[in-house]
Amino acid sequence: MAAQIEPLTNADTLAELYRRHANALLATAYRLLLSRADAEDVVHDLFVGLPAALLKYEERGSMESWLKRITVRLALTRLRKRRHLPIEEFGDLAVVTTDPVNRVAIQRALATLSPALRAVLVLKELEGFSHAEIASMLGISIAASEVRLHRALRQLRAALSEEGR
Amino acid sequence: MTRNGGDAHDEFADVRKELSAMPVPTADERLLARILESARRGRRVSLPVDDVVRRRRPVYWIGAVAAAIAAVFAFNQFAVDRGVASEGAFEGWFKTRSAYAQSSTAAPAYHGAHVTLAGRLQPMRLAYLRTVRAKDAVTTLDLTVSVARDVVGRTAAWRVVTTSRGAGTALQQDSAWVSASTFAPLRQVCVEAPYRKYDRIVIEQSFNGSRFRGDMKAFQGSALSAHRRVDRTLPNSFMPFVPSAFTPVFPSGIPIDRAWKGSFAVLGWAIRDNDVFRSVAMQVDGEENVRVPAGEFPCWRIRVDHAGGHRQWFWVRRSDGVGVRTLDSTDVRAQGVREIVLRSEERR
Repeated sequence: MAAQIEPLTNADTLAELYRRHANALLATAYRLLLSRADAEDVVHDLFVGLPAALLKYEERGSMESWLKRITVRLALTRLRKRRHLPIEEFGDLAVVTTDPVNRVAIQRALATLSPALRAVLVLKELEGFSHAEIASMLGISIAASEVRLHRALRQLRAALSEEGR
Repeated sequence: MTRNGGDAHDEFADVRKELSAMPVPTADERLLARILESARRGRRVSLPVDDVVRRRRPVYWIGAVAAAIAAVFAFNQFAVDRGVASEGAFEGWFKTRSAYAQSSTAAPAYHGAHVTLAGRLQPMRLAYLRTVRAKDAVTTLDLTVSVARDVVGRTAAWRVVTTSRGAGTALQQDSAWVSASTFAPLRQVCVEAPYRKYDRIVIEQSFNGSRFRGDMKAFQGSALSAHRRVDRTLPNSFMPFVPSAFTPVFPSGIPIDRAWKGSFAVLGWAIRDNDVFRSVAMQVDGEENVRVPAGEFPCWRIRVDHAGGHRQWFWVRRSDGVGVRTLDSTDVRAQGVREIVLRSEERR
């Protein structure tokens, strides 16, 4: 532990951790928030608070999964506080698919879901958390998580159909 | 059950395929620079610190921006020296100390001013005279405010342009676009020339609800010398937000009566953490007939209390909510008492 905390006083070490993990964490935050600015704020807050957070870190799993859990928690907190969901311009995002219409469509469709449904969908389908883990993070039952996932997928399909018209 | 929690035959395979192709942003060096700067300062830094186009002397540059902002607030000597209308975004109508709402945890003193009479605003051109009476000098400056109908995207809007010209080619022009139905800010562009060591500075902001993005660009000649971006969320607790240029006519949308009081926040340039907005608390203090060069008008006399403790008086015409006079209640920082009066108006 001490060996991990001490180097964080060095900007180079923080930068190294950033370069190793930030892309994945920013992606997680972005999928939940659908706002680059909000996602960057989450990653920013996480890394700035990292030296203090590491004091509570118990090295049971990988650091990346630990960081991802914190990212999810920060993003969910931000999601709960936010009243409306901004529809952003997606031009500067990494290109995963070559079809720009579909790129925007999936995000617009995702944005139509309520935060509660979107959170379960993203955490389960894109971040790979189990229903038990999601239930714990969101403070709901496992059954509720499963129901929300099914609803989210159904609504997402409907929204994608609308986008395709 | 599969990993995805569905049946062996995945009924949502098509949706999952789309979902997995969702693009995500990449974590760039700009964000890292911001993180490192926040860690160094021990507080959140909202702006990137490394996006200056040409940054020969970074420390000097950051200091210069800070000094420039301070100079904008302390407009008197700056303006006198340069003969420029150096009001800056916050100085447009209400003067302030250097304590800003967004750096304070204090909530606004009153409920947010509620706009229900937006239809009362009309196209017009207002000419004001600003006078600063300092201990050993009196300086004056002409201000014009033009209000015109416009459209932003598909939203019917008001475009309000406040212009003040100093000696020679010196110019400060703040333009604001607000929703015609709610007065919510849609866009703001502030131009000041010259500005510190630059020939011109241009601040552009676009609003989407409580979110806004913007750019600060400083030019030397036609060359871009410095560039910063801003992307922020305004806290709902300080609503409504009012572009500086719009403040003289903002009360036209508010149903003011003898018991009225309300808060709103004046938007700033937002190129630093502490110039994003400034909360002001207003309360009707009486009714008076006010004589200004443009005429004599029945007015609400409104007490304006700033987050920094400074107080002003603001006379708002009862018939249409247009501001006809402001007056500092005290000589803030011993820089002179400022008064703005309506000289003339033209309905369009």
